[in-house]
Amino acid sequence: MIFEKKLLPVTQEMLRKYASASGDPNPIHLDEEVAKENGLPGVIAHGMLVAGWLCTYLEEAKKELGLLPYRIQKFQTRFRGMVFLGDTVNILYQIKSSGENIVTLDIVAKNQKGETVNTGQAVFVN
Amino acid sequence: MDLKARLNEKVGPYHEVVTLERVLRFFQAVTQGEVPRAIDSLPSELPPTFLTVCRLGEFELLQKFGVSLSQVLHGEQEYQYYRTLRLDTILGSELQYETSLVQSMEKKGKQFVMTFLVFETKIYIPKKYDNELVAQTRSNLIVRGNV
Repeated sequence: MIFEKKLLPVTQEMLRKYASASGDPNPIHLDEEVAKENGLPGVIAHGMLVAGWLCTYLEEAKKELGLLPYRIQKFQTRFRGMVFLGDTVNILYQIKSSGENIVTLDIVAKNQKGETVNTGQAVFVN
Repeated sequence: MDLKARLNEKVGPYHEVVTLERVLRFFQAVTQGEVPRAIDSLPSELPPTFLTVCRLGEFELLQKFGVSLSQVLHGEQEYQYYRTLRLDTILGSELQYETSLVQSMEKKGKQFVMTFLVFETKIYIPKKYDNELVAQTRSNLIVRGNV
């Protein structure tokens, strides 16, 4: 069983809010000119904002996948592709393995072109 | 700069207070659509990636190494939670953390020299759990250009 969450297109306002809430001052997420000076095609989303989305919707995934009593023990994600302004991210959650009182979820996030931008795993214990 | 010579360099301790205002702002920043506006609309636990507020040590070490933040991309991130961080337990508490450089590796790319750095941050809540480690983070960062 797979739980899927489709997100809204990325806006500069989302990046500005995240920079302020997380305390990440890296200008490549906020300033087009700085991003281009550093060899990027434009402003990119904070990797940790995408990671934040993956975790926020873990709660819905837990509910849909019957894991509500479980609590998180470990979360890991790899940033495989950049997320740009206007991109829409689609997250897929799937149970990878389950044992006595432990469940591992596989997480994959893709952009609107179907390119993988993040992969990850969350380990839950009961 | 040969960062291998800087392995295990540690900075901290730093302190961050988990205020309701801060938690709400973080939830709002990582939630799309209907965002939580008050404590009763929040989940019972701290958002798992809230601990990203504990990155001052990474920023300080990067500065010490002469790395500009605009050269840095995130490669991988990991959180290990040794305690359930329930909001009703930890709101108002002070997180204390220290960060160290645990790995450094350089690779020559087509356009840039890339330096892969791994930072480990150990997080404590001394007033709740004495000297017990409550969470640990591991950040793999990629620095584009010479360090």
